[in-house]
Amino acid sequence: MHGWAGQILRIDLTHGEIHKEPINETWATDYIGGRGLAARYLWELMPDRTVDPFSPENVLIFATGPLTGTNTSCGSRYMVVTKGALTNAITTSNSGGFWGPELKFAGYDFVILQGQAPRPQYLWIYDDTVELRDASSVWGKGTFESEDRIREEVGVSDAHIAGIGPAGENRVRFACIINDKHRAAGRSGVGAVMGSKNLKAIAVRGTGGVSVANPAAYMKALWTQHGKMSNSEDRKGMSALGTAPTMDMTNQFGALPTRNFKEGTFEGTENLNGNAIRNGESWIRNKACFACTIACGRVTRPSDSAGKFMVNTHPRNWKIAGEGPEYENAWSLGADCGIQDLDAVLMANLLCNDLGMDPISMGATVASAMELYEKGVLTDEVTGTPMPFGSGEALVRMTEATGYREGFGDELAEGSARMGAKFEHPEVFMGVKGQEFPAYDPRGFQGMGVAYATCNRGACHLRAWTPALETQEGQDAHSPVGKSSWVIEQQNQSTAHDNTGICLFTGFAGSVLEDLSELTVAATGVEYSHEEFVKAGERTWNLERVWNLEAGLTAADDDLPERLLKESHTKGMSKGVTVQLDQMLPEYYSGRGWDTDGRPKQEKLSELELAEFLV
Amino acid sequence: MQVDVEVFGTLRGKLPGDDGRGKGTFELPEDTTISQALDQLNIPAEIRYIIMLNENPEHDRDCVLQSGDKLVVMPPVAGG
Repeated sequence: MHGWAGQILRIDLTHGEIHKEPINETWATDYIGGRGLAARYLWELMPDRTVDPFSPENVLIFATGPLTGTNTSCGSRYMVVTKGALTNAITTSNSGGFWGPELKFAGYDFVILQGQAPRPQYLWIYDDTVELRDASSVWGKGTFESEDRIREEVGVSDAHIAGIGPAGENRVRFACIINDKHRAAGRSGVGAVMGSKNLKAIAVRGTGGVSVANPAAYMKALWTQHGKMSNSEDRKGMSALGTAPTMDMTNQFGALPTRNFKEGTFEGTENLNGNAIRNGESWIRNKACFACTIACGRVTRPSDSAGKFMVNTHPRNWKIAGEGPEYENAWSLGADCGIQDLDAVLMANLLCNDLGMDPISMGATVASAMELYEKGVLTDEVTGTPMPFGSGEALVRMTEATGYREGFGDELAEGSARMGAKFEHPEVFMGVKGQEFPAYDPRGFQGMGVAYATCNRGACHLRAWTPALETQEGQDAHSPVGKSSWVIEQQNQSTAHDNTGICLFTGFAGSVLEDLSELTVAATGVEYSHEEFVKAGERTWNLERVWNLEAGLTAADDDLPERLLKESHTKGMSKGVTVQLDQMLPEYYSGRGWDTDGRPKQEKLSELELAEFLV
Repeated sequence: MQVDVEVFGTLRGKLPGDDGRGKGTFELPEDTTISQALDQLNIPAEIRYIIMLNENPEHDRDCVLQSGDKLVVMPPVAGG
């Protein structure tokens, strides 16, 4: 095979058995790879979709795409596909760095993990050598220290490691998987699932490469893509200031969720935006993932004044360099908590990476607790520390406590949906399907409302990003008209994109999806038309949907919090606007070829060659 | 006429006399369009900006500015 390595690893953690088997070529062709192909394997290997995410029956898949490890721009991505600990739905969490390409270089497209190890272990892959090793030396350690120790133990200095921190071990429901110390398969609690399997990490070193079917056509398409990105003003902006300038745009549009979505504009953006990060004393340099031609990553170090935040167990973190914050983290740990102290955001972000937690859900959960504190529902006796909006100290303390499930951190570790419900105020949960919203208030960008409500992995901005449409000429960001059809198109396209193993940001930096379909054809030798390529994305989306329906989710889960549907902001550009989901959702179902209960109709499944998956 | 101008992101530092804060009040001739204002304010015209006039999106670069207007210019942004 070309593009694909052609081989997968199946690991039975319960019995310590390791199997190598050929990739299913028919499925690989149907789903392209990555997220879609992993969803197909998950369907096959996990017949009971209703099991608890922490059950040994849950299956954890690390999946690359056919372009992962090639020199296609941003060919760094791998996806983690499993039943999410936060959502009880299928999740597909995506990361860059260098780990995914290294797995391909070792000769494997996927690592599929089943069962539960009897004791903490890590998996070591060095080309053909694959072994489970005792992880007692790193269990309990943060991801930074764990990576260094594992690399020492295997004796290969350039091994790449994807693993969990204490949060994953402690089954924090939004624990993530961190690779290369600072890149994360961040959302839905994939790290908690990994922890439940007693698997600390997967270390990998590969000395092979990725072959392409038609090198001449591949290089021609590659130079076309590189040329577009090199000249792109959008790409130049991301290289210069990363993703955080988005904060200025959302703030102007009244779409910057502030203080747990109670407001849509934030007074502290000048302390947290791209310029503040780039020009502040914490800035060190840009950083790029494998084959990246954007380098949106920010290498930063908390400033001397960050020492004011007393972090009990990680004093060494005060002065080490990390990465971030991206826009999402600057928002969740900043504006959403009413915090404009960049040092607090940097410290909390660094702790999230070391402890292995999703900073979006971490910040959003702290924000919901701050609202309960403001209401008097939570008191100092319960939280152990004052938690008013704006308190950087509370944010940093609670981030650390959450990773270890200490004190009130044990409640926060459940995420804001479960935490809010426990304290009899479920209305403070700002999210969908148990997963906290990212950094766009749908009252400012109406389309994000239906994008959030319908995303298969819960609230997410990476499946359809409607500001790209809603800031264009002739568009009304506050109108629901036409948003559903655009969200459907975006979801299908972004899924096809994810399936290739290429970073979504290429699409924000001058490249277009046609570049990737052409590169995929040249790399794999499969003669996809662009329409067939996008159809594989739609097939994936529908398979994920059917998976969720079998897991017990219903149309009732395609909903938004009442705050967004009934309460409007009193200032900013989105003043007076609520989300008109009641108009957009039926249009979405109809446009998808689903019935009024959100179930794919037989005709649609047949069209996608998914008739056998009818529920 | 006087127009309040604010720019963001990579445009910071480009306005005449910009100290890095990216904002100021500028004297412009009567009947100046947005396009002409960008030119006079050292903002490269060829880029696809998000432009807001008095807190609302404005896509017509031939729109004539009025005294007291607030003009906001942002480079394209994406993702998180």
